[in-house]
Formats: sequence, structure tokens, C-alpha cells
Amino acid sequence: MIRNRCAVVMLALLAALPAATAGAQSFDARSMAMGGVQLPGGGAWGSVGNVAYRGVPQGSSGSTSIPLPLGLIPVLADPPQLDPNKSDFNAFELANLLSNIPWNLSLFKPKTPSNDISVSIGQNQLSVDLGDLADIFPKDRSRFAGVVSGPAPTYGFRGAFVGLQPLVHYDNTLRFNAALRGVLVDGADVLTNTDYVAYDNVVAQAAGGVQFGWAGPLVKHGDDPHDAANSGLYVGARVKLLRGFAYGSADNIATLTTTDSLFGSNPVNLRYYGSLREAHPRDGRWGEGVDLGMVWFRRGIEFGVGINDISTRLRWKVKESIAYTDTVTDEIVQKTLRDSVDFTSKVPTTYTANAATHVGRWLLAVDIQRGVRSTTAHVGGETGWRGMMVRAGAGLDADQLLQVAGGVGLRFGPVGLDLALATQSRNLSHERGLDLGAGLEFYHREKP
Amino acid sequence: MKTRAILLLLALAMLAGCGERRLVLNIDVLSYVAPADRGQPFGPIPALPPDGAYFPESPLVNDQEVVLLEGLTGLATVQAVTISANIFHQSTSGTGSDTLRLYLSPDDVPAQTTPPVFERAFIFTPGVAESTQVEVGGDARVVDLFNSRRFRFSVTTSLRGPASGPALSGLVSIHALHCVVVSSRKPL
Repeated sequence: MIRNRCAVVMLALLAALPAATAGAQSFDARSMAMGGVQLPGGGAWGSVGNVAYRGVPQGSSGSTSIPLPLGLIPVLADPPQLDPNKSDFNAFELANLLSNIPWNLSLFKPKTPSNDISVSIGQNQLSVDLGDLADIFPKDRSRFAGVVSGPAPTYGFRGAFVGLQPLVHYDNTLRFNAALRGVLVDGADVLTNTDYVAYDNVVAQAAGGVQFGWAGPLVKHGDDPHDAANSGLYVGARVKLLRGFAYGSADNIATLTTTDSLFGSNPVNLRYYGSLREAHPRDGRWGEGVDLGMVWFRRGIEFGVGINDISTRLRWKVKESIAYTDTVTDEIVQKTLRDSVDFTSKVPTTYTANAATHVGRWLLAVDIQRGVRSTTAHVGGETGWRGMMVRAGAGLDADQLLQVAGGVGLRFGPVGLDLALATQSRNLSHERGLDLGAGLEFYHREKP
Repeated sequence: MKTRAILLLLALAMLAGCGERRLVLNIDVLSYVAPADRGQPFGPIPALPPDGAYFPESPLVNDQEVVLLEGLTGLATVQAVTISANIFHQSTSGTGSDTLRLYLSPDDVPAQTTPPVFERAFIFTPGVAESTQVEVGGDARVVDLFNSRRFRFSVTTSLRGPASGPALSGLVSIHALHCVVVSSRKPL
């Protein structure tokens, strides 16, 4: 039983660890070198955040990027230990790997928490020194949330398009009361007759279906909107019909109450209460949502706004239950309150705004993205001469930490090589690491 | 479940046992002894030629129970134990000697029926107060004790009075008694 608990806690920790990470990484070396900013013209995945980019032509300087997964090489050469029974198994290293998918090559890896843990025990005295591990616990609260809705295969004709539509939404908030935070984070003594409380609120849902819509010019002057001599207003709308696959939400409160003696026969009382709502694939019903976007080009300035999941709703037949600690048996029991209850879940609306322009020989770009629980922003620029591009940028990640980047692009006729260096804090301890990204660029045709 | 629930408080700490990391328990064994019971004045012990009066072993701390973390046996394997003590001894008059012994035993065995974990002899010098630091590593038997939740310990003294001169009077007390237990995580 104890072993099972350890495994469960470990899994829970692994699941919760992305809370400490700082948002998505850039797979495109050009964007990465420019601080992760959304590239002019939308870039490879621009239409995911702003559907209007589906209708924007790539322009005369268009190219196709193929990112190179440099980071997979060392991982494949020396894969992490997945067997928890092996001495070199490290749950935190695995969590860091999941938090920062090793697409890019880590030149400087943040230190994995690896110190010894000290527990000081005396009669009615207990304290824990977690060392580096204390950094993974939230000072205030830890939140991680997101909506993943693409990319997905689509087929388009004259601006209209239809395709598949996946959607995953997750949102978790973990909070400790002051006493528990003091013990885990600050190394305070565990006190007698004290409540140590953890609150966790989680919702996750997955759905899939079809998308259809239209994106194209509402107004345009000239064929290439990227040309400063031309202008245009491009708009897009995407309707999503979604069938729910799975839904789960839980509001959990776990309380450990110490008694008169920390090391007596009954040192603590554990009380758990959870309010649960769940639906399985057979319980899913249909839902719908809308994405809207616009991109405006005028005198070489590009400005885009995308709004996703406007009034996205999913319908379910859910089971509502409560779970609690039985005071007689001391076991956690679950009691169903209602079954097959009609329930409609929401998918939060997300927003992106971006702008780009040329200033002299520089291309400058900026974006801001409002996600489910966080706002990120990026700014970057590039300039070049004789087939060599120099790029730099910076961004605020989901933890509001400043990250910087730089890189070069080398062009050899129709083929180019992009290299990027960027800092990131996508790890448990929020320490900065340095990644190297690379990609090949295949130019559609030479600039005139 | 209740008696094991403290594990939840420390579960995340135990996760640190993953990989090469270790769980280090610093146990203040002396905190389990009431302050008034940590020392013992003695004397006067009159001089007795030719070797001085010998007092058989008597407990300074008698069979004290120590309760550790519930469930440690399920999560961690004790690798090593280091025991350290600081013993204060003072002679207000007279000379003599003492031998202090520490016994550790399982919860169901009287401590003094097991071999001493350490014994340390020291000399009383009139008017001199000294502290003696002792540090020993635990053998396999001692290491195994810390795989259990409870153990017992006793501290005994064996005084010998002066062979000649003034009667011996003084004080023996324990100022510190710590166990450092290094554990590694058991396989899940």
C-alpha cells in the first residue's frame, strides 16, 4: 500500500510538474532566434492562432521551413531511465524532459534537483529540508493550463477549407495553506495540532471533430500583401463541430491534522474531500465553437488579431460524485450523487495579436498571446546582407521571466540554414537553460 | 491508514530518494529524555585502596523508547547509521573514572540485554569540567534497528572512586545524542 502511494504521488507529481514550466517552445529556428515571436505572414503554424492567416498568400519571399530535431540525438543516444526500480531513475529529470520536449539541443541544462533530503526528528519536532526540491513547490499557487487545438490536416479550395479538429483543454491550480507551504518550501517545523492543507482544482477535457470555414481577402490592393506598395485586409472564420471524448474535473481538499504528538501511535489525521465530475467517451455529446481572425497589411505594416474558441461549448452526460475519508474505516470512499446528468463545459477563449514591419534594413515583429491562465509576449528582429541573416529577440514567458534569443540564417541559393540560440526556463526549478535550434529553409523562388 | 498517514506529508520528500539521492534522518535522540533525566550528580565516593570503590553499571537513561517515522520501512532502506554523543563530566572533588555505555535495542527487547553500541571511559580530575565527544558508526545490528519504527536506548555509567585522597563528587550528563541515518529509496 505504501509503495502504491509512493507511485501515485510520483505520478501526480509528474502530472503536475508542467505547472512549473514556462509555456511552449519554438520549433522554428527562425522564430526561435527572434525570441519566439510570431513570424510575419503567420509562419508555419500561424493559422492555428489566427485563422485569417490561412488566406494570406506567402509572398515573393516565401519559404518552407523544416526544423531539425537536434535535441533528439542526445536523448536517443542516452535515453532516460524509465524503470523506477533502477538506481539511475530520476522522476525530476523525466519531468524536465516532458516540460521541455527535447527538439532543440540543450547547450546548458538547468540542474535537475538531486540533493539529499534531510529530515530532522526529535520528540515532537519534525522538519524537512528539501534543498533544491523546495523550488518546485509553489510559493503562492501553481497553475498550468492550456488549449491545444492543432495543427490538423485540412483541405482548402478558394479560401474555403474543411478538416479535422482535435481539441484538448486542461487547467490545474494547486495551492497550499501557509502551514504546509512553510514545511515544504521554507523548511519550517511540523507542529502539533495543526492543519496542513492542499487544495487542487483540476479540469481536463478532450474532443475531436471537424472544422470548416473560410479565410481570404476582404479588401486588397495588389497580389502580394507583404509588398509595401500593396495593402489588404484578410479575414477568416472557422467553425468547429466537436464530439466530446472525455471530461473530468475535481475540486480536492486534503488535510493532514497533526495530533498532540508527532510520533505517537496516531500522529496525524488525514481528511480528504473531493467533488468530482466525469464523463467517458460514451458520455460525450456534440459541441461547437468558433474562431475568428483578421490580418491587415498596409504600407509594409502587418497587424493581426486572432480570437479562438469564442463560445466553445461541449456537452456531456456526466457522473457527479464526492470522495471523502470514511471516519470509520479511514479509507477514501467515493459516492455517486447523480449519474447521466446533462452538463455543458466551456473551453476558454484565447487571444493573439501580432504586428510586423520593416524599419530600414530590419524586419521587426512583436506579438502578445493571452492564453488560459497566462500572457506571453515576444519581440524580435532580423536583418541581413549577402545571404546572411542576423536575428535577435526577447520574450516574456508564461512565468513572466525574460528570455533572450539570437541566431543567424545562411542562404545558399534556394536552400538556407537557420541556427538559433535561446534561453528558456521550461523546467521544474525555473532555472535558465540555453537551447540550440536549427532548421532548413527552402525558398520558393528567388527574390526579384 | 491513519497511522501511516504521516507518509503523505513526507511523500514528496521521499521522492527525492529516486535515483542517487538519499534520505538523511537527523534524529535528536536526547530530545526523548526529559532534561532533568539527562544528568546525574554523584558522590561523595570515599577513597578505597588499592583500586577505589567500583560501582556496577547503573542507568543514566533507562530503556527510553524512541518513535521514528511511520512507514520508513516501506519506503527506504537504511544504509548507514552514525551515532554521536557529547558527554559532560565534572569532578567537584576527588579523582576517579567512569565508563559510559550506550545501548540500542529493538522495541521489544530491553536495551541493556544487547551489546553496547559504544563504551567510553574517562577520568575525573578534581575541579575540572570536560566534554567528551563520541562518534561511532553503527554495525549491521544497529543499522537494522532503524529499519523499524521504534527502538529503545539506555545510557549507563560505571563509576570508580579514588584509591586515595578526597572523596569523589561530581556530575555526569549527556549534552547531545544524535543519530544520523542515511537511507536510500526502496524500489517501487
